[in-house]
Amino acid sequence: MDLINAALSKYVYVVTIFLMVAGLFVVVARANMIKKLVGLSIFQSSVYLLYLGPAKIFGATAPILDSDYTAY
Amino acid sequence: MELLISFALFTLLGVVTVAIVSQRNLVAVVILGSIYSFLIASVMVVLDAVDVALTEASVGAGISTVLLLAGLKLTRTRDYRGQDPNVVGALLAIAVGGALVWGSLVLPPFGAPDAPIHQHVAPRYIEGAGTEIGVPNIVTAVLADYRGFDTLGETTVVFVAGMAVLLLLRRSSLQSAPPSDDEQPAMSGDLVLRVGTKLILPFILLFALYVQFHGDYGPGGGFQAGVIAASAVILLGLTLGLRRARRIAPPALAHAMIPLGVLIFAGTGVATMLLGGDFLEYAVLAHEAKEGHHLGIMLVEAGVLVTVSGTMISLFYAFVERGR
Repeated sequence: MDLINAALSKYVYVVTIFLMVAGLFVVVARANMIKKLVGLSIFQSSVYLLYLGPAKIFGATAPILDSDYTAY
Repeated sequence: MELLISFALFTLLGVVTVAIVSQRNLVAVVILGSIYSFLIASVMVVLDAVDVALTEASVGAGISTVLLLAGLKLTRTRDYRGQDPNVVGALLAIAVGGALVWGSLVLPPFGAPDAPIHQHVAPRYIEGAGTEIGVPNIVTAVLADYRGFDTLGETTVVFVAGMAVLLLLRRSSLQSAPPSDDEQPAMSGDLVLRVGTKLILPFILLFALYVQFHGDYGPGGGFQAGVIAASAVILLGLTLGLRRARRIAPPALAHAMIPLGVLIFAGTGVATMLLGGDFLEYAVLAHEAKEGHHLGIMLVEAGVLVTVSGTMISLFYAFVERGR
């Protein structure tokens, strides 16, 4: 079970990096501007995921103060 | 359970990204991009980042899809021809990807409460949002109060970007004939769309106001509410015609709103200085510090709302009018 959890937790980071690389590839390798824009937005949102992924806590809630929760 | 949901959503993200990279039909690329944004918003909800999820859902899945489709109509392109495999791009992507995977090996396990990211400023903000600012939504407290200066910069970026796009698109609208007002909108023939739009419009605007004024207590704030309010005007313009949209939100008003919001934001800062505090030190706005913080956050968020909605509506008009 621990092994599965460890693999899944790496999976999140690997997919984030895959999105980043795919966005970069579209921006560099595709000539069409609309396609470049979509690639750029993929690249941009993968950067968000790189911030948000390591900040996730299991069992915690969104950062809105509430008396029922202690972990955010 | 959370891990399983993340697993499924991240897998879907990867699949959609592969489809975007390989797809050659540009309409399909834009629609897939909209699906991608919606998936990202869902992932952000799972990762407990509800404010940014609301932004991504309204900006990424909503407005930017409309603007990209308008761009496709302007450039009159549907497909692009195949090209030789790009070796340089592939090598660059592989090199960057390898470096990033190598770096990710030392990242803490996903979902761990003792990760370094939770050890430094985060506890300070979680502690202070309730006691110093008196705002339950910590994101709003950080965005509008602790980091109000950064948000002023962000609002100015929206202002400058909106101005730049308007200037770029305006040049040719002077050369071409003025747009005629009696033209039928593209989708006016569809009865379901017209009636549905009329039914749903008041609720979109009401939701925008809720997101704006509930931003202290729940996810939301000026950025999200501005985009949602603009999407109501854009929906009206797409289904019932530009003339109806112009009557509710005249382009001149939308243009004026872009600098007005920045002025409200910066004016709040100047007002706190005149009252004897520092720039954007809200505590001096009222007799009690917490009330001052509430008032300051409300004013600043109103400024953001005005600039963002003005920019989005102006961009929509600029794109659609150039397409005639």
